[in-house]
Amino acid sequence: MINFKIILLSIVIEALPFVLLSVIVSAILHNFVTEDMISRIIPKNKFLSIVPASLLGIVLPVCDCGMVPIVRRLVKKGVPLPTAISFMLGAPILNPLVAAATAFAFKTNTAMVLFRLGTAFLVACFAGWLTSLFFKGNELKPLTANQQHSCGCCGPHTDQYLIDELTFTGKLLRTIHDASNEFFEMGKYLLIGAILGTLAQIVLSREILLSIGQHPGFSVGVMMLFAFVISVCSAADAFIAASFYTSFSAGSLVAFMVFGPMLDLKNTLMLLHTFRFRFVVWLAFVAATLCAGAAYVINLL
Amino acid sequence: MCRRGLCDQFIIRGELCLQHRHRYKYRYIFDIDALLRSIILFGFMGLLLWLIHTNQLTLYINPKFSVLVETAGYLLFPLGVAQMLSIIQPIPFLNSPHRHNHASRLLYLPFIAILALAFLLPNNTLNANLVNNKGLNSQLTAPAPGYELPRPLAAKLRRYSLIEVTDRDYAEIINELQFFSQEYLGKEITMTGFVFRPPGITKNQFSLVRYVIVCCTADALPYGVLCECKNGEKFKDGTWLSIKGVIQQSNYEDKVVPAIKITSLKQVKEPQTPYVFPPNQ
Repeated sequence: MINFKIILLSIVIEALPFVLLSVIVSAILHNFVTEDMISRIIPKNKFLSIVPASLLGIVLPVCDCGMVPIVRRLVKKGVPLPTAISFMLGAPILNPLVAAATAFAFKTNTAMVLFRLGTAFLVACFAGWLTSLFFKGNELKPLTANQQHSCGCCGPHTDQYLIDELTFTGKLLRTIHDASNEFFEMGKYLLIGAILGTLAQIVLSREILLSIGQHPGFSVGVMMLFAFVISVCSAADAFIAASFYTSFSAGSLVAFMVFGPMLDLKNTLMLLHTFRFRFVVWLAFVAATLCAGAAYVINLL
Repeated sequence: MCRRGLCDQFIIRGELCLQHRHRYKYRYIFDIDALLRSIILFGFMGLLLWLIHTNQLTLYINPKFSVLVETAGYLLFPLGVAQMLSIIQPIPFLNSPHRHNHASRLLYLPFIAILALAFLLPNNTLNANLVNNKGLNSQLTAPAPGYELPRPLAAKLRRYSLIEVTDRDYAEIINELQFFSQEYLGKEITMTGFVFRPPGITKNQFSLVRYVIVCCTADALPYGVLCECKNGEKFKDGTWLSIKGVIQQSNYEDKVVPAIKITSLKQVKEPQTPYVFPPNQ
């Protein structure tokens, strides 16, 4: 029980600043940035915008815990879905902090850093490209009746056109209000994910993992599943992967370090709340297949 | 819209509709959701700031993140105030009073459960029960890795006849011992850690372990060294010991592994910072 409390609280405390920052950024985007401003920045060509989007993490090092609220806001603001998806998958890995942490964890074995960043880049781009092939709309969940009503009694669900009427201070107050509402909307999924992840950490013993981890193909799947449930952040997972170095194939460790930050329990719950079920399942399948494929190729090298 | 429905301009509550010279009448609703939310937000703010100011944050995460956590604590304040201000809401009479069926209140349960867990259960450290789950370094990485390790401390350590293992160098020195123990045989060593018995050890053996943490305790990895001493069996798993001993080699599960032959030891209290946070990352 003590171990459960400590691991759970540590995940929550670690993720809280990132989630908080991202709901604030999302609320600022909502209140201060118009669709016009965004459409001017985004390249017109959907296909071309995928590559810079997946590399945006280099200048915006975000943790995967805080991605979903920002991505949702961007899509609502008219950023094409494929672009947003590439950003969401790429940014938590393709940034200097994660590259440095990976290099440190694997010491002089720079191949692992290259494998990790390269795989993440390819998966982010391909997933974005496939999204543009298969999905035309924004795939956001339609608003439920509760969220739709506009009663003028509280800020967050009044309509967009009203925002322009407000003064700067009014907008600022609304931003704070929106941020706190979104904090609850997203926070509960984060917390439930953290609870499940902690349970997995306590229950899953390394010996079980090691016993199945010897198989060349199977080990990739095991490590991806492991990454999905333990919900460790992208700066630290390299150290866990490094501790498996002698027992697992290089490909399966890369799959662990690429798939985990892209999708884990916490952000999948948030995604399911934001996007249509069908789309989330499709995205998880595509990301998992691409990661596993890349891992298989790395194992052959 | 204004009450008479004449102007379709949105009128912020409390303002006079100047065009039509009428004032809104209000009734007040009590928003329980907003109350719960403000309690939770202030609760989390209190939790973060309390952990920082009582120096307990290092029980959960690497101190290098404390600035981030402190910022988060202060950021929660305006959010909490915003919720508090909307606990009592004036609504114009023309709107039929309605409760917000945003979602079931059950969804506040995870927040409240975590706050309760944080404040009601004693703060403590990861105990020895978890070492097996996490996998002790000496059982896992026994063969040297297939790449060359950087050894920033090696030159210095080779010169010493007594190696003092500090928090700062803990992970580095344990790695050195594990992979290059033959270079240090016969040297004296002092270190502190807790007792853990991996399966397969003999009666006089135990491991002296500490958790190494990169980000948060969710990524804790137990690092330890095999120790040998007479009457080793009398120390329970989880007992903190400060030891002095000689580096040698010993047998563990048909393998020759580095071990410390303890020459003197004393039982100590768990240190203020029980975990080891590797520097320079």
